[in-house]
Amino acid sequence: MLSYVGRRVGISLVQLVGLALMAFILIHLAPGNEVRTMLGSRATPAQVRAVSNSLGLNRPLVTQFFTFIGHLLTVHFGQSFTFNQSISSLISERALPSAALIGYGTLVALVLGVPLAITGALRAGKPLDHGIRIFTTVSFAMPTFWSGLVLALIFALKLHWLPVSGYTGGFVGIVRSLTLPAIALGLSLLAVVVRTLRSSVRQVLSTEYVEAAQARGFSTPRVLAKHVVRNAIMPTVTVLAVNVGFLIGGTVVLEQVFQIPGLGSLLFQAVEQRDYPLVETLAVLSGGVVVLLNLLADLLQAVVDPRVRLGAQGG
Amino acid sequence: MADVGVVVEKFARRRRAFRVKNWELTLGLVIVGLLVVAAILAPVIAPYNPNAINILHALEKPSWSHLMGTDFVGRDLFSRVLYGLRVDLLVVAVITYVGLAIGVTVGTVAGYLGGWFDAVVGRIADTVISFPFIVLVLAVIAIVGPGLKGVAIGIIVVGWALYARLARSEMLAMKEQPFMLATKALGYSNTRAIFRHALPNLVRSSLVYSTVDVVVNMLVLAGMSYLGLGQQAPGADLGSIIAGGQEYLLNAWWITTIPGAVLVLFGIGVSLIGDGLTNGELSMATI
Amino acid sequence: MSTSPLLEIKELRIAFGRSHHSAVAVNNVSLDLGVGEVVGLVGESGSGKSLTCRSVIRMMPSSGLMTATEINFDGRDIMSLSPAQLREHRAHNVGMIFQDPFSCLDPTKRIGEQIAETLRVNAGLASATAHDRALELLRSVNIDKPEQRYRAYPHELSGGMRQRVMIAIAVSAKPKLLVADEPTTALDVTTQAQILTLIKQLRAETGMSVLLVSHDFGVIAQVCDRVAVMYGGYVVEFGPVRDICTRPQHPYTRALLESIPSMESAGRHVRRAGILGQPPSLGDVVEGCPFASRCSFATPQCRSIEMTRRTVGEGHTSACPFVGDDLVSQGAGPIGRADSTEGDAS
Repeated sequence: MLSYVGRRVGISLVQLVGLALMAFILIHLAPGNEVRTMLGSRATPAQVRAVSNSLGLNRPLVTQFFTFIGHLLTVHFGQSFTFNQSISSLISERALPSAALIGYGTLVALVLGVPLAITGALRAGKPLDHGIRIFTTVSFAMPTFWSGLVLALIFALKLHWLPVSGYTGGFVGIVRSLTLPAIALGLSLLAVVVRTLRSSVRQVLSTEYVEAAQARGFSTPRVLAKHVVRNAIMPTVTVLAVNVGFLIGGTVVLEQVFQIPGLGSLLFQAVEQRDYPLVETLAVLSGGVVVLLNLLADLLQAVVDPRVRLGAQGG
Repeated sequence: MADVGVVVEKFARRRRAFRVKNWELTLGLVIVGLLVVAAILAPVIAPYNPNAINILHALEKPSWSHLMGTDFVGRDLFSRVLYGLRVDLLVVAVITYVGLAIGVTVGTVAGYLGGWFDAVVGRIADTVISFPFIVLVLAVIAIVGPGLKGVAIGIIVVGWALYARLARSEMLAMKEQPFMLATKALGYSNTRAIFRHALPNLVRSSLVYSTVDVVVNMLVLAGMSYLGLGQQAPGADLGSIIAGGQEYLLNAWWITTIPGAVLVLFGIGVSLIGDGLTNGELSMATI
Repeated sequence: MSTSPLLEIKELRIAFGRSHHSAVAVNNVSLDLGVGEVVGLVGESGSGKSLTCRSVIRMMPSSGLMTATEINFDGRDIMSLSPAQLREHRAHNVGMIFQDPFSCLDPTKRIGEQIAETLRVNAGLASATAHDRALELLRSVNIDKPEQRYRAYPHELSGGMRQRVMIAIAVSAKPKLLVADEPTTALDVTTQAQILTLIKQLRAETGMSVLLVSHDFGVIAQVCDRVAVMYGGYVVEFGPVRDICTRPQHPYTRALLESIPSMESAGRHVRRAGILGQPPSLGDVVEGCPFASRCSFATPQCRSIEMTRRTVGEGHTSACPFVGDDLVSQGAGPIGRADSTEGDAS
């Protein structure tokens, strides 16, 4: 187990360094003088030089990269020029709405997806299964911003059940302001959840240990809950972890639709303003979140399935 | 247990013959085909100039004279959707298949050669895939600047990596197959072995995967245009048309919902083609 | 043997598909099994023996349709049980073990927990009691160091050990009947003997009945009191094992017995006789006797006979009307032979 964890953590570390390097290279590929872009055309050469010096932009690239890594490791992301605020405090202010939206959206996808997947697997090839498949195909094809707007039109503008946009804190506030974007986000993820889980449930249902459990007189709900889902859920957990990046992307757009002050809208503003240090930091952090969640998913799989940690394929 | 398995399998084989053959592929091709034809023929079909402003007819409901209604300055939505679709389809096709071409080539060569080239390509592809797709596209847009060019470059920078990974792993498996070993024994050059013999076999699964990619890229492209980072005014694509309707959502629902529905229809069509290709493996054996 | 039957299957039929083009896998099978008795079901794969033994707990593949005049188990008709009653029946009356114990155990759970789960759910034991009882069961199926094995995962055990675990689960509810579907097929010969001994031992201790399915007459002969020979979905011969081994009445039974390597041939290169041809496959519509096409005794009448068994000895029935003791004792090679390994009854 320990050697497995060690190997897996090592892979993630390499990926994290790769992320930082790639973000760094991307930003330094930027055409023209980034300081001039940031300060606007009216900046005097002296101002540009001063800011360049304070950012360390005139030092060699390698030095700059290690400074960047050092800042990442010590959570000193520097200053955002467009917001006149330290990047760390910007991020900590804005993290909660985005995290809540991603969590809530995943919850929606699971609450809708798990029953649909199990139903589809139990009724494989029957009309109900086809119906579920068509539904998930449609949900996959919907742009999140569009389904968000349609939901807002129906549930906010017409029915007045929920606010059209904006964000309020507190549990009730979060639930009220994030329900519509979370449904939009969850719907976009639904197809992946249903397809992955349905096929692994089908596979587990056809195994002999499920047959043996039924032969023992266990009820169908018990067999499903204790044996089938337990054995079938891991591919879905992995797929969810892989799709966190997709969800993060979804929040960028949805936070604009619903005017939620999260990291997604922060990134959007940073891109619009060409606030390169902020874009760089957010890109690395979001990639880091994806890498870490994938690591967690793999470690969780090793805990759940004893065969993984031995590296055995297990016939 | 084996006994029961044999019985059931034999029975299932008998049943399969009764199944309708690949309706998904047919329906998907029809949907996508109609949309593509409509987009190509936009100048012929469109009843109005998509950018012609007519304030007197602003925010009109769908009617016989304006099939999809009009927007806040009275532009005919049906014409705008046709032209917007034209832009989106062209951009999506280009970015997806340029990404596919780069990815499959790089992945195949990496898998065939192995060594340091393979290691470098593998690391870069893994890193690109670790980034959230849209975040990386946004970072590229921040550098290149808003507009379709920025979006296209951003999506290609990300998009090639999955194809490279797919092609690489298939190449590794194929390398051991007799016909590839034979190219070595016959003294073919690496280039010939890769491009004449391996690539045609590898492209197939990438093409099947591209049906998912086309939908995702279309959604990202529309998303960027919705954010104002894609197609710039006065040009329009579906994302920017939807964004333009947001303010008028309650009074003029059609500006937002109808172009979005066209996007959804396209996504469904492409997904159906993908399903058809994966189900009816045999019918596509020629690809 | 026993006078009070525990299980009586009457005219069992299992078919796949809708009425007009259905494929019949088990046809007109009637069997009985006494309290404490061990009955074998022997036949080639596809003969319907696995489906037949599953009918005892009414467990069919989703496309299978099972009908019977009656399946009487200890005074109750299995065919008329409600789903809840059926679960009760599976939980308490019948224990089942299968050919491949590895795939029958949940790969992600410790084997002790799998036994304890059965005890908790089916016998309603508290967790602590279930734990102790599971250890006891592991001991009773001759697994040494049970405390240690309790915490093992299925992939950490040997094949024989896994089958012992399956047996422990099967007998945990003290069932009246143990159904063993090819329990030794996936095991090597030494382990096979140990598992058979264990089954015999448990039967002697608990007095449960056993329905043992195997393609191997050798296994059947070691353990069973009576044996039913199945072919093409029919029981072609049924009777005491000793009687059938010495005086097989049906040509198929004879062929099957002749394909077993005997003690005399051990160590020498003697090719055993196989049975020529292929058994009918599911969906083939066979009129009359399904063995007729492979039987060298076959007459045109065989294609139209009714497949019902008639008494040919004490407690001994056969579905073939033409072969009696006289014919067999003539020593004429009645069975088509193939001097090859093809057609081996496995």
